[in-house]
Amino acid sequence: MVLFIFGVPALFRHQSLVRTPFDETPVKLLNQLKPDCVLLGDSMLGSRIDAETLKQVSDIPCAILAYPGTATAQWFLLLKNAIAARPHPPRWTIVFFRDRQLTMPTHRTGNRYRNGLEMCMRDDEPQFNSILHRAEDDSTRWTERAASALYLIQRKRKDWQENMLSGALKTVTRRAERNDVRAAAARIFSSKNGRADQNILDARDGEESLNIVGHEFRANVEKSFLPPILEIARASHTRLIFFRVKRRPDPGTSAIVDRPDLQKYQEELRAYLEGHEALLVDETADPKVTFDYYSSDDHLRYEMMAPYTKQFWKEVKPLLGSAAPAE
Amino acid sequence: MNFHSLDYVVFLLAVLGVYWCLGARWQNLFLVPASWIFYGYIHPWFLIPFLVTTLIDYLVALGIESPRGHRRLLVAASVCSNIGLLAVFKYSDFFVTNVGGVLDALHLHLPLSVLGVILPAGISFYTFQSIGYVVDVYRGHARACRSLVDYALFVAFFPLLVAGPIQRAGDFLSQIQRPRTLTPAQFCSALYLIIWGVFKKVVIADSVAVTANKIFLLKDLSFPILWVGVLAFCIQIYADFSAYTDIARGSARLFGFELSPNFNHPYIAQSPSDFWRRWHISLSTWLRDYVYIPLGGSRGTPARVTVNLLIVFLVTGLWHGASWNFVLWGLYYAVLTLLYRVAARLVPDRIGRQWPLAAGRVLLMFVLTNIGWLIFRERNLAQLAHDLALSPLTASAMDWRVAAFLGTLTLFYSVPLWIHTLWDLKLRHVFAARESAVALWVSPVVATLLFTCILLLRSDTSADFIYFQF
Repeated sequence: MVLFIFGVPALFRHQSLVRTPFDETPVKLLNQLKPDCVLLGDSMLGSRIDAETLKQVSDIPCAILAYPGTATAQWFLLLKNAIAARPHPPRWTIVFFRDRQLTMPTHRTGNRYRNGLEMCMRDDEPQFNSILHRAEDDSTRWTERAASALYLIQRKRKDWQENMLSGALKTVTRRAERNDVRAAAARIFSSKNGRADQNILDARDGEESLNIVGHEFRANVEKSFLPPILEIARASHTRLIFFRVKRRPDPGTSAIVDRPDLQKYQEELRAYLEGHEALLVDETADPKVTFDYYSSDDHLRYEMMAPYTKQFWKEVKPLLGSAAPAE
Repeated sequence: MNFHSLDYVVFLLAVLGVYWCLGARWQNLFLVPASWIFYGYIHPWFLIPFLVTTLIDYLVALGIESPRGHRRLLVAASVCSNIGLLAVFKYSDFFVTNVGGVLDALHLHLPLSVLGVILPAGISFYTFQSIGYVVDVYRGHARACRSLVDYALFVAFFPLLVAGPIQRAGDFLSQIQRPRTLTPAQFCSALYLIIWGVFKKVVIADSVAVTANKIFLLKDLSFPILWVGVLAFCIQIYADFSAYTDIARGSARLFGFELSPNFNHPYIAQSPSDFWRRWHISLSTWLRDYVYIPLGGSRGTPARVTVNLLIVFLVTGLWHGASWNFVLWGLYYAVLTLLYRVAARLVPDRIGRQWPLAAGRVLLMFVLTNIGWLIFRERNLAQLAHDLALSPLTASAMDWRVAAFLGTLTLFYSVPLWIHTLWDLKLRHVFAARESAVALWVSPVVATLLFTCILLLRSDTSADFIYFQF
């Protein structure tokens, strides 16, 4: 009986049953735009750069690959399978990141992120899995690793949860109303409607992990996705610019001064990137990006995206250098 | 250590493996430190008050049975030490805060400081179990346990240590004192209970908790959104607490112990008294036997019975936590019980037995239970008053649609609970003649299905069991 109960779910191991197929959307977008510059990142990119404004101010074709709730693991896959896989890869790829994110390989790779990661996988991705497993060995208990390895079916969890949600929605609403109801639910539960900031459950999990004080650059860089990201960029002749975004400053202030450990981290990161033909742009000290730009967190307010995009391009354009096409 | 963690699986398997290798004489001796490790896993200091109260009650019970013992004095000492423990850890901050508030209002500013200590997990459960033991020995309903190891296991047995069910000495101590066995049928039913418990916790309770938690954090609530949040909490708390009880009972059964059940489909109750016969049964029977009946119970004048009910429900409310909303929740049930008693005198009994009326009574009690859960869940009394004053007429059409969506989602997740109720009440006896076939074929298939659902549908966010905080 024990074998039956715990054995049957372990039988669902075939990749086609448990893995989400590759999503061609970014590939199609790049094929369509044929960009010279690709902007890659999570919601820090999505809430900062306005595509229309960027089109107006930039003098080269650009593409935005903004995937909210992602981190280096997914950026590695997107770079490898969408950006660098193009017959003519873009000349520049600008990666938006926060603080220590680049050397945190397990950040946003848990079960709830699995679908998103799989949608960027072309095959079994041995390099990706090897880096992730090694990092998980450091951060995950052996019991959790064993359970994950035994029951691959868990990877479909996100789909099933979504099925429950959409099933409930379909039961009570007509097709035409569904988006409105979802939007209304999102509006009702937005952080603006919370009782008090300190009580609001942070749905954007993983943000706390960016603030780990003891996370040092040198001790973690070789275990992270950063070296293979740099290697892929080098091999595909796309130049990487890592753009460290400024997190929301305190009210009434515009400057952010890093703590000593974070300063040391950034210095080491800069030296490492420059040693690997990549650049680091650090927006943290930029006084132009003030508190007024921000919503309740590190995201920008919608109406500030256009002015921010102009500022961003002004900042970045000189770095694209003389190789940039003439205006 | 949480029952629904992989740590617990490893712990349980390890303890079980060693336990069944040992002879009957050594099994209790082994379970005691194992239970202490379980309890002190996160906060080792929790063990200090726990061990002190264990020793005191062990000695007190022996003293009660000794010929020269001051029986009443010893019982009083035991009750005081247990209640004192609760007073310090659970109620002192509440008391100091409220006294400070009253003194401030009287312009008497005294420097009162709160202790601010973490409430040791399960303190309300093990103190009540210990008090019950001492009183049972005093009344002659149970013999004082001579073996410190056996008594320590009675209080510390890890499946029931943190959130019950509260066991009686007469039943559980006698199980501890005799050799245990584990038959294949016991093993299978234990495994099924554990899987069903984990399913209720991580699939049902934790999933509907997302809706409940989000809604109870909103400042601008509309009527439909509020009540769909209450419904979600109603499902959450039942799934959560009954899950703990099932895992506890299943785990105990694996060691050869049989714990008393704690729930009997509470949401089909027809009255407040019926609800408390079905909800947290071990606590309500404890309060009946050690508080309500000693006060005089339902005998005496109507005024006396009213006072008895008020006291017992006040204790029920305060047992759940040091907060005014719990006091209000207890009083709410006292008032409901009294109203139902009055109504019972006015409505002839035979009318109440007709099925449409019985269904109506279940529905009415379900609505009243949900109002109770709102009082239970909302700790801010001003917000509670605001919530209760919300009108359905002021809500927008979109609010109703969102509430219908979230309510349907909650009902989807709660379907297994209703199926389980239907099985227990209507179908189980149909298959009674084929019990062995059900055990052999249906149970493993259902357990496999439940386990697969745990893998596929468990919530991303999992919290501690709600009753851990009590």
